[in-house]
Amino acid sequence: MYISLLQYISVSLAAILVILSLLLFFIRIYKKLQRTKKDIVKTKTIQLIEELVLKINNPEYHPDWINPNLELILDFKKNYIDTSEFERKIVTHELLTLHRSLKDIASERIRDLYIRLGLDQIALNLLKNKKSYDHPKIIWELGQMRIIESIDLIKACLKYQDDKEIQIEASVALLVLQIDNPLVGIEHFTHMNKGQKQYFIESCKKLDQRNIPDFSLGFSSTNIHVVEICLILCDYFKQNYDSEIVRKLLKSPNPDITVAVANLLFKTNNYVLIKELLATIQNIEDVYVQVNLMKQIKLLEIKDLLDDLVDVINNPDTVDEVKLEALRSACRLSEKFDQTFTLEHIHVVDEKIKKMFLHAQERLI
Amino acid sequence: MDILLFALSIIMVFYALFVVLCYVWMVYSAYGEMEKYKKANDYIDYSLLLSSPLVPGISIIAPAYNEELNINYNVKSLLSLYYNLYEVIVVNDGSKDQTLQQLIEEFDLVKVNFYQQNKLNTQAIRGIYRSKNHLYFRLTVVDKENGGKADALNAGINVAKFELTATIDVDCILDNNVLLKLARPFLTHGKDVIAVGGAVKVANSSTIFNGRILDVKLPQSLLAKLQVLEYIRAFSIGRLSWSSINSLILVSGALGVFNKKVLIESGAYQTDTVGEDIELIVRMRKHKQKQNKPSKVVYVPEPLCWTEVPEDVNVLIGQRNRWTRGAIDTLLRHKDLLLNGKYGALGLFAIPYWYIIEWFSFIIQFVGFFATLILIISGLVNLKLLFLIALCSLLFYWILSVIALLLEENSYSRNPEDGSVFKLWLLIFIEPIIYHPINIYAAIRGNISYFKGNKSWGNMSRKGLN
Repeated sequence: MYISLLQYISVSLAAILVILSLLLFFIRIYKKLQRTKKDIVKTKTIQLIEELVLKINNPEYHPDWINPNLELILDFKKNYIDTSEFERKIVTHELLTLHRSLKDIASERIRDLYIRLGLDQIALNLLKNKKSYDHPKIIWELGQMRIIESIDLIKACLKYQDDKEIQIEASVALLVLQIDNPLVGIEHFTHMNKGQKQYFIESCKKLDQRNIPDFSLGFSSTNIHVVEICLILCDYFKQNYDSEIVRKLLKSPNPDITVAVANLLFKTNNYVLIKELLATIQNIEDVYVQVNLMKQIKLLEIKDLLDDLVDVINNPDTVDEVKLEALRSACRLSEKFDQTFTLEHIHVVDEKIKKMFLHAQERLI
Repeated sequence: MDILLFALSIIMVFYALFVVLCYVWMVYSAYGEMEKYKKANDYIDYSLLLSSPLVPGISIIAPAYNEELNINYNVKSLLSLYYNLYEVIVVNDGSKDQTLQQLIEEFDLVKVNFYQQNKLNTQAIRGIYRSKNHLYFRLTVVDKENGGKADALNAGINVAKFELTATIDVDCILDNNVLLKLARPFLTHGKDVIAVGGAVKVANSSTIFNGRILDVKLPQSLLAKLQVLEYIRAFSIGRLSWSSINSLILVSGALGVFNKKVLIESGAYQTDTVGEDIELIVRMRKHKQKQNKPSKVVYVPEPLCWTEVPEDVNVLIGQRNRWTRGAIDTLLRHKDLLLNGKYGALGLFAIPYWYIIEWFSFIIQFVGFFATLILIISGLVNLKLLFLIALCSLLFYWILSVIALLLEENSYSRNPEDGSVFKLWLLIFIEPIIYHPINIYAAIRGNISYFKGNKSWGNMSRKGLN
């Protein structure tokens, strides 16, 4: 009995081995063919875009530009969109990439082309399917192409508690789509860790600058994550802000907010508020934050802040790590920096501080 | 006697079933994990991450011992990775050759009086060097007394300034995007992530120029080719499947990125073990568990690091002997994890797997081989039955290898060479006969050496990749 059972098992395993081996070689060949096919579809898409989008005679944008070219577009749709998912994905990818890199009329025409090829409807249908790994990509696509019909579906994605990636992409897309209340997506996050915040910010940076909302709107939010993210994005997109609201944020007990405010002040060279920040640096509980602020000052290269730095170094409440960074920043800020200068200004010249000072000097090599 | 033999047979049947089920599950979950990774990875624009000032800073620590032949190429390749915020710390672990001198001359280094935090105890530091040339502003060289790889890594951690620490073998070739790919899980999963590892591939016979892989080729040596197959199986099935249930306990020593805070809190690398990579991950996980905080070890299934594998049987045996000792040491040091529900899937599945499959299976195979020989000689076994059992085992082993090749082919494989897959496929059939016995022999020697108290690294001489 055992022998016949084992015979049966070995024959089955041998059959599986043969099938898998054939599959292996089939996949190898299939992938090679796919690469060739991908190149062809890519070339055809670029040709279509060159023909319809890049050869623009009239600099004014009219939505009806598409009508005379409808036949060409429908022909392309029939050959490359309706035939296979593989080809559709390549076309979509090319359109999205070019939409991001091109400007004004060319970008708008790519969006029109995207809609006329029916890619928006396909994306909406895919989003309607139950949770899928493709969702973040589709949400980003719909957001970038400003497909207003997708708002409700994207809002529903905010409820995916167990998939932060989908939630984040949904709130990023809503920044562009929900013009009356762009921060509705981020407001949804009551808890967000550092990594997720960074991921969110990176996703926002993919947005088209022409469609981003005014992030300073979020400075007054009661949600701490919204405030921090908006500070960072306001800084990144170089938007204007109200100094008085930012001054209030300097008193925030949250170290992340302090860092974000400081970054904004540094990038916008708001010296008045930077001086206020330095004067109260010891009040920041997190030493790491204090150290980082000192590092930032070094990058500013503004000599006016030298006295404020010396005050920080001489303050007995300043911890060693912060003194070290303040020293290093002072090195950078002082044009005629030498040891005499430093010793004149530092009261506590113990061995440890000296060592730190030497270290600061050597870093300049 | 009959009852004993019967009981042994039953145990062996259950053992075989356990092994088969384990591998079936591993293949299934590895496939799912790869699909998940591919889809998530599909729309990520790494160029944005590259230019971002918000990416976490990474300190790359590369210990070097007697590396004078390739050190300059390797350091230059480390200095030209695509990432915004990183530093390279080369730790010269008391090399007896001209490693340090080569670095000083090539990179225009000068000794600096570096302020060190000394959070970890290490052998004495002889000096810290930085470059006068601004081109090499990312480079720091630490010269120290010899203390072994773990000690060198700890010395590097003391000097590291960024929040993430990447440890690499200095003789490895890295993909330009390695830091971008390995930093991403820290961004998406947040502070739960304690370590991230990537796939390690074999570089023997590949074309390398200035520390970069230009053309991936199959090695010419048969032994190295067989290791290619083994690496594919280990990474495409093993690492991916354990990663899918967050039970990975091994991030390869050749390439890993760690959360520096957790690394230091949990005591960093232990100098009294030869399996410092596996031991570290287990200890970091235990540390987080003690704090009642979740921990995640992520595996990035992309070829990010190429290494040279031994082409000499004795060197290979020495390497596997050390790996076995490292694994046993870790399992016995942390035996409280075994079947401990507090650690979830890690304690209930991953650790028992390591005991049964990665440790005991070699002993069982070794004993089984000789027991079978005795049974054949004494005529106590039905030869037809024995042949069929052996055939089924071989077929199962071959199927696993073909699946590993399939998964590799369906992922981010870099085997463009025509015919490479066919060559690997052919090797599948000879591997269990000529290569697997070497592994068993090395594992048995590893077991004996471990219980004799051997803690040496053994001879790891290689040809060099350049």
